[in-house]
Amino acid sequence: MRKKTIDLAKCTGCKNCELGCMVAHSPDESLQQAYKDGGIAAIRSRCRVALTGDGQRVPLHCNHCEDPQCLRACMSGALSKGDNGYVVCNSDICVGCYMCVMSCPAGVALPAASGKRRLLKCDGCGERHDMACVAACHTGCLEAEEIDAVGNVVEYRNQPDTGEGCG
Amino acid sequence: MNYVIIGNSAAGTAAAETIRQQDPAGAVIMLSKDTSFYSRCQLHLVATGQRSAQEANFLPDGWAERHGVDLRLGRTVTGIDAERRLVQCDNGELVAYDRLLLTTGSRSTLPPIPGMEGEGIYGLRNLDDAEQLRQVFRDKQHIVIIGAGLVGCELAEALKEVGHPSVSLLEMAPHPLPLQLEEVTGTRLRELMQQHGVAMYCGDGVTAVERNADGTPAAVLLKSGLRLPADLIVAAAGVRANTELLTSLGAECNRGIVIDEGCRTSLPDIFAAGDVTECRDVTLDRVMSSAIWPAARKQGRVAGINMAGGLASLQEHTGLRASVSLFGASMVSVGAVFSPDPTWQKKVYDHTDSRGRLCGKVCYTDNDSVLKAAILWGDISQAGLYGEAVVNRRRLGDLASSMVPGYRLQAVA
Repeated sequence: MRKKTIDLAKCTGCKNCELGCMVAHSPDESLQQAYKDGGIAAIRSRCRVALTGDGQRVPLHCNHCEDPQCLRACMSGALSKGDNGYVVCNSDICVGCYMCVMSCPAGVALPAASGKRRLLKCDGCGERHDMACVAACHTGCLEAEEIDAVGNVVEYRNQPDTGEGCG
Repeated sequence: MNYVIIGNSAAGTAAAETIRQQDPAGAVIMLSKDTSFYSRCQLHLVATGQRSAQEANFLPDGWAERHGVDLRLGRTVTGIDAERRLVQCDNGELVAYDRLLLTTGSRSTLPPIPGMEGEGIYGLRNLDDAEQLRQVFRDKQHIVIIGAGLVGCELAEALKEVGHPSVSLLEMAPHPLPLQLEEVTGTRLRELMQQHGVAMYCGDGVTAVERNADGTPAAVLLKSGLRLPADLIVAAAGVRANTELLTSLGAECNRGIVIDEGCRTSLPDIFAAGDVTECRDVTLDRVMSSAIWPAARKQGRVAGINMAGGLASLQEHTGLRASVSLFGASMVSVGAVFSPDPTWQKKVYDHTDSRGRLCGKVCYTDNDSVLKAAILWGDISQAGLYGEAVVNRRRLGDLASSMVPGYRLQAVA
């Protein structure tokens, strides 16, 4: 699996990660073409730059948890953890009940924006030679490396102290 | 070690997988009156022909073989001998157990109303129910669904999706999904369903089913005096837990078998999980049922670990979470929105998103601004964070992703 390191001090909120993800998950990997075809609305980034209450921007990425709550909640069998460790959704099986969305404590399981009801989530770019979000990041915030693991592959750096102690 | 599981749905299969992980050598025997695996949450799709029974299977092919489960389907368990540790099946077979798990679910009940018993009335709880409906619904002129809970609403939507011309939905409460929505969102849903061609009768009840001379249903009579023509009636207004196997042994039982944090019943070496149970709910701090799929899976896993000699606990367990999408609007409900504490404050936040969709959030907070319950309408992408906030007693302003707890995300627009 690939481990993704996210250095919060380096995120500028430019959303290039979102753009890279959208391109990778668009038909023909071409946003321009999708825009022309009118299919742009159906393409949603699996990662997102969220807004905090006081206006800061924070990148949210799927952790491919060792104990994935999305998969635990899935009633259709669409979600599975592959041999490569990534938690992936088979859109043909998914009925869009969104119990995964309801259950993800990180807020990175997302409903499709249009078209057939289905979950959109990070697939780890498991079938690509690189991670699209990482490749698109120009600030050094996102970095990827190959590691031997079965989950929990996102590590945040420079998190603010929550004042809630360790763990 | 002989592990016997009665039932083959969400809780039972989760337990079987977990037991196998914990104990590679033990015998895992699964008995069920069902003859196949299927997701109950998809029965409205099967009933309307949008999914086949096979497609409603939530397990991958070869599941039983892969997990070493001795699968005995089509067998109804008729009794349990707790002293001799034997389970008796309807075919006379006796199965010995060291640890037993009851995941027998619940069944739909018919309202006690004149004319309700008899042909033309269906439940939607089992695959058989769904397949019977699928065979008959297209030939029926007027379909009346009694009960606008999750099952009733989803079936009404599915019937309109496949183009049925006459679908009526009855609900005693003033709005549909009375356990999941409050007045504002409930009224919104009622109007939405009405706009999409479902005839909504809320705040009304059935007093009788009128039948033709040949016994087929003719109409449903309402308290308000209305008479709705109906040749097909679906009862989606109540369920009863299938507790009989354990109540006859004297197990502690309310409306469901009472289980502790480890999914143990009051009987030695007998566990229970899923819709048949009641356990402590963290949001209300009360013993109650938790009849949602994710809760059943979790109970199944906790039961499985404890049956195999491990130690697991239902931490922060709640069944008060629901997700449903109807006619283009997605909704998530968390917490006891159906019985808000008088001290809670309710606030409604509405905005229109970039796609022109109406997005609303109804938030209930206590005197310390802690989020107690919430309804998300339209944009549900942060639903998991709201759920975590309710369970972990966070303030609405302290909504955060579990991955970056130091960042308080914008909760309401």
